[in-house]
This record gives sequence, structure tokens and C-alpha cells, in this order.
Amino acid sequence: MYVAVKGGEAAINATHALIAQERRGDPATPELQTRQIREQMKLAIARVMNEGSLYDEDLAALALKQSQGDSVEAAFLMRAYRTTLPRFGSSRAVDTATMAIRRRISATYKDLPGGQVLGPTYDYTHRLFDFALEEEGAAVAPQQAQEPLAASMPRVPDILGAEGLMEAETAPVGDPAPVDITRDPAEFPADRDMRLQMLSRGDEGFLLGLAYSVQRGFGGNHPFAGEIRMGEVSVLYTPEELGFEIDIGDITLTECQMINQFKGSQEAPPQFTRGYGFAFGHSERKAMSMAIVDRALKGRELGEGDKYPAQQEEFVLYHCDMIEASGFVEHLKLPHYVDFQGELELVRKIRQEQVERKQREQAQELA
Amino acid sequence: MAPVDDFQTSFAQTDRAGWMAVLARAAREELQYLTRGLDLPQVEIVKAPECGSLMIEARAGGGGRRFNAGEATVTRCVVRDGERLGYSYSLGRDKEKARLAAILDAMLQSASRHHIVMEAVVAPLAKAQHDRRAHASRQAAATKVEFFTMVRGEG
Amino acid sequence: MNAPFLPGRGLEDPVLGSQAIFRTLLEALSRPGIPLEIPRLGVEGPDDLPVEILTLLVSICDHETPLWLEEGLRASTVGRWLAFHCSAPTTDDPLRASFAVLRGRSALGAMLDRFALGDVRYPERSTTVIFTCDDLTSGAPIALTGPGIVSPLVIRPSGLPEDFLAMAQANHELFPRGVDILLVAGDRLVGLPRSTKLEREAH
Repeated sequence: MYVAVKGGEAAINATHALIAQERRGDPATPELQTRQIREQMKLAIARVMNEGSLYDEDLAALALKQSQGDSVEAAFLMRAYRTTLPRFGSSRAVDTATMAIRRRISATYKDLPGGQVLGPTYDYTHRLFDFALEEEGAAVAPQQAQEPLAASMPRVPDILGAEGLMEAETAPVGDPAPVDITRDPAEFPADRDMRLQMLSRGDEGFLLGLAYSVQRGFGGNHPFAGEIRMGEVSVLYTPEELGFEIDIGDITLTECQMINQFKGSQEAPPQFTRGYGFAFGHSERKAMSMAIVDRALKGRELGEGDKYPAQQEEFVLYHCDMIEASGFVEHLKLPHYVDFQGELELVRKIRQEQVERKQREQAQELA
Repeated sequence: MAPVDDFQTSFAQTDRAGWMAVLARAAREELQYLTRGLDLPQVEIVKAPECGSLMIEARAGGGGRRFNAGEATVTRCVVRDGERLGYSYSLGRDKEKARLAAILDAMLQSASRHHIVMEAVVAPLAKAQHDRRAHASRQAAATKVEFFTMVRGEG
Repeated sequence: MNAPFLPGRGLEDPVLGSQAIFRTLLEALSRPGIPLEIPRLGVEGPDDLPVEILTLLVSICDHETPLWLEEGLRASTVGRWLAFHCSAPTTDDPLRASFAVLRGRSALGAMLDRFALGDVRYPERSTTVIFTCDDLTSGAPIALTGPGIVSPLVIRPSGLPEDFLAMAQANHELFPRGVDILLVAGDRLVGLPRSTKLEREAH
């Protein structure tokens, strides 16, 4: 219950100028350009696009500048802006098989068709500070191979699928249109399409923690990274008024296929099962965590039970959205004066009753 | 109002889809630069450049059930040049680029102007886009691991 | 799709235009029975439907609101015009329709019970049925009572299907389910939400 707060308008107006000053910092330092953020903080941009659920690198850069780098605040700006955009429709489902690959690795097959392409990864850096970055540096010219990579590379799970050992991931009959939780409220139990949509909007940190819990035994699947790929895919769309499909540009995506051992249950035979992670931009940790949690949430369908947090879909899906979470947590800053007064009176009253009861008991003993 | 036949039969739909894809990927500055010497027609704006969103769909496992993965900003514009309608749809929020791309789409559907626009605008853009992609791919290929195979204990 | 297509003109200012129409519709459904003027917004399209209807449709339809058109209109370019301006699909399944347009004069009946009626949890998942009629003053009197109506109000629409009143009454009985009705005569709009009770006026 919130008390209507009277007054404070002048104070509130004053906060806007103050944050502007905080954001600007020392005026002697050149102001940050959104172009710089877009070009030089791509991984932060990816996170904001994922959790804001809106692919637009320039907007994400502005969001980060405006929020001074606070990624939840930035994602909030993206979500708010998105509500002002008319929805033109849906794209054709992106085809990651024809991705223009810039990174593609597998931990399950060493020498796989297409090869292990390391790409721009921090995996082999030594986590030592590069103090040269404190100054502006000379441009780097990375090596180039003679030939570009193959135009398309098969997905690792499809290699195993041929033997019949891999859980199939095929579209249901009729290739139904997916649910959209931005249009209709989420209802439980949640089908796979709803789970994947909610996970893709979910916070990387929360999902990483849950994925970690699964690996440490709170979920019982030991995952293998079947494949991680990152690169560009085309966005295809058929405008109703044009009547034919057009290609409207490329987006960068990260995709992760986790492969899990499964000993079988009453519902399903022994086989390898899969988890799928998908993220805008280069966002590997998010894609991997999402894939592990996606697999854990299949527990209901595979008869594995839901003893552990990562297997409980309401727990995972409700609490992974940071805009929702921060809304409720931060709402505590709003005035709760009346509730608190009520609590205070209650505590005093209970105390008083206890004191009086003790006095009565003592009096009886003496009597 | 004169009827508009917007499915110009001289050019196959695949050709049109092809040049629209190239224009969609161009930056505004590229279009402005490449059209600086061209006589752009005065067009009627049928649908003013409008920013909206498109829901990006993906498939579970890459090939399975569809799910909604998040939206992308998209800008569209429709112009009319005499008998033709020019359309543009591209990712992002650049309204001026959308307007220019729509004008070019209209010009490309006209038999008399198709070739000059292809030569002056679409071909250079297509080449630049192809080169950029090939360059990025060759750089990625340089990070591809070459495993040394060892033949074990024969003879 | 080789017939020449006339794009006509949509809303000049999509934001303010659609807001003006939305405001009018909101008012019409909040105060049922009171004729309101449909703002003139410069919309141009196929003359199979009055421009006022096209103005309403182009303001409120989008890619998620399938439109049902009566048989006689399906061959026209109305569907294509609407697809062009607001990506709205058409459907010939009344149960899937978010909006439906029936021309009072030529409709085979009011057919309200064939459209989407919503369900108890989501009563708003129903069709909004738009009827064109000749006028609101020269038909048989219908008395309206219910939420949003201060005192019994009488409307006299002419040019509607014969079974209109009976169907509208049956529709009202379904509350909270049912359809909502809009009557358009010239540039006047009357709203008849499902909460409105309709009765034949005695005299």
C-alpha cells in the first residue's frame, strides 16, 4: 500500500540535473559517444539487446550511455522503447545452419566437418591486464586465411541424430506459430516455445547461477557443449502488402547446443537429450547457460521430476526476468509508511501483551 | 487516380528481392554517396518512413519448434514514381535511408532506369557487402585449428 | 495478383489519426446509442466500402487482427488495401475474426452468433462487428438501456438485416461473452456493446 506523496516535485526535478552531471563526469574528459559504445563495447551491447529483447545496436549503445553502464537500467530503457513501436509482423524463423560463421566450436567432436573455428574469443587470453589499453593503441591487423570458411556447416547434434541416439528436435505437425508472452500472459505449465522465449529475455547472471547448480548436482544432467556458433544470419520477412519474401538485413547471433546423457525413464528411452541456447549478438555465456537450463526444464516431459530449482519452471521463468525482478525489489523504495506504522503498532502490542502475561504468571506463582 | 501496377513484369521477383536485399544492407551514407550523381525522381510518399518492430523467430535446437526470440527495429517506406511503387524494408531506424532505398526500388523497376541504377548503386554495394563478408570469413578461418594427425604404431 | 492496385491513402498522421479514431470508438462504446461523428482524416481507398468504414479499419487493424468481410466484398480490393496500409490479414472463418464488416443492406442476416464470442476468462477475445446502415433516424425504434446509458435511449437505424434486433438481443443474453456492435451510417457511429439491452419500442 502506497501513500500518495505530496510535495517533492522540486526535489525530483533537481535529481535529473544531478544524474546528468554524474553521467557526464569530469567535463575535462571527452564525452562518451554512442558510436564508441556501439563499436567498442559489443559484448555489453549484446547483453542489453538480449535482456531488453530488442535488437538495435544503436539503441543499446544509447541505453548504456544513458544508464551509465547499468545493464538492467539499460534493458529497461529498451523494453520501454519497444512498447512504442508498431509491430509489423514476424520474421521467418532464422536459419542458423546458413550462418556466416565467425566462431564455431564443439567439445564433443574434435575434428568435425567445418572445423573448430576459434574466432574472436577471450577463452585463450590469460586474464592478465593489458595496460597498453589505458592509452589509445595502434590498429591491429588480424591474419587472414587464403579462403573463407564454408558457406554452411552442419550442426553437431544432427551428426548424432542420424544414428537415432539423439533426441529429435523437429517442428510439431503444422509448424505452429509460437506463443508470445509479450502479447498474452504466461500460463503454466509452460510449453517449450514459452520457456525458450522467457529464457532468451532472462538475465545472464541468474541463468549462469542456475546452470552452475545443475552441473553441481542440483539437477542431475552432465552436459557437453555439442556446439557453439556465432555469426550473422539474414532476417527474412514477407510483408503482407508486398506479397513476397524479402531479406531485410543481418543480425549477429550466438547459438549453443548442449548434449546431455539420459539414462531413460518411464516416459522416454535412453538417448542423448538436448538443450538449446540462443542469444542476440556475441553472448556465449548466456547461450550456454540458457541451454543448460532449457535442458533442466525438460525434466517434466522426460519424467525426471522437479526436485531442484533449475527444474522448476515457475521458479526459473518468473525470476529470470530482471526488469520484472528489479521492479518488485526496487519498489520497496516507494513509501510504505502506513504499512510500517501498522507493523510498529502490532509489535508494540504483542510486546505489551507478553509483559502483562508474564506479570500475571509471576503473580500466580507467588499466590 | 491512375492504377498502379506494382508487379513490373520485366524483372523477376527474385531479381527484385535480390536488389532489395542489397539496398537493405546499405548504410545511409553509402546510398547518399552513390546517388549523388543520379537524377532521383520526385516521388509521392505513399507510406512515410515508419519505424516499427519485427518479432524474430528462431527454432528450438536450430530446426525444431518455433519460438519468439525477441524483436528487432525495422523501418519501412513506400513511394510512388509514376506507375511504380517503390518499397523498402530494413533493419534499424534510419528513415532517410528507407526513403532513398524505396526511391531506388521504384527506379529499378523501370525499364529505362534499371541498368543505370544497377551499375551505379546496386553493383558497387553488392560487391562491397560481399567483400566485407568474405574478409570477415577469412579472418575467422585464420583462427581455425589445424590438427596434426599422427599415425600410430604401424610396423 | 495482376490487377492494378490503387494504394490510395492511409492515415496522414498515423499517430494522431489513429488516436482520434480510437477516442471516438471508446466514446461510442462507453456511451452506447449516442451518434458520434467519425473524424475526416483524408483516407482514400476502394469505393466498395464507405470511406468512414475504411478510416475505422485502417486505424484499428494490424497484423494480428484478422478481418472478416462478407461474401460480396471478398473479391474487392478492400482486403489488399488494408493489407497494404496496416498489414491486416483477412479471413473467411468468422471465429478467427477480430473485426467483421457487414453491409446492412446486402447482408444475409445479422449472423452475430457465428462470430467469436470470447470466453469467460477472456471475454474480450471476441469479434467486433461493424454494420453499415442507411441512417439512424428512419427505421423502427429500438430502446436501449444499460451501462453508460443515462435514460432509456431510442435509436432508429434503417437498412439493417431483418433479424438484427433478435440477434442483438440474443447476443446481450450471453454477457459477459458475445460480440460488440458498431453501426455506421454516413459519418455517424453508434456503439452497441454487449452490455446494452435492446428492446422494440412499444409505440
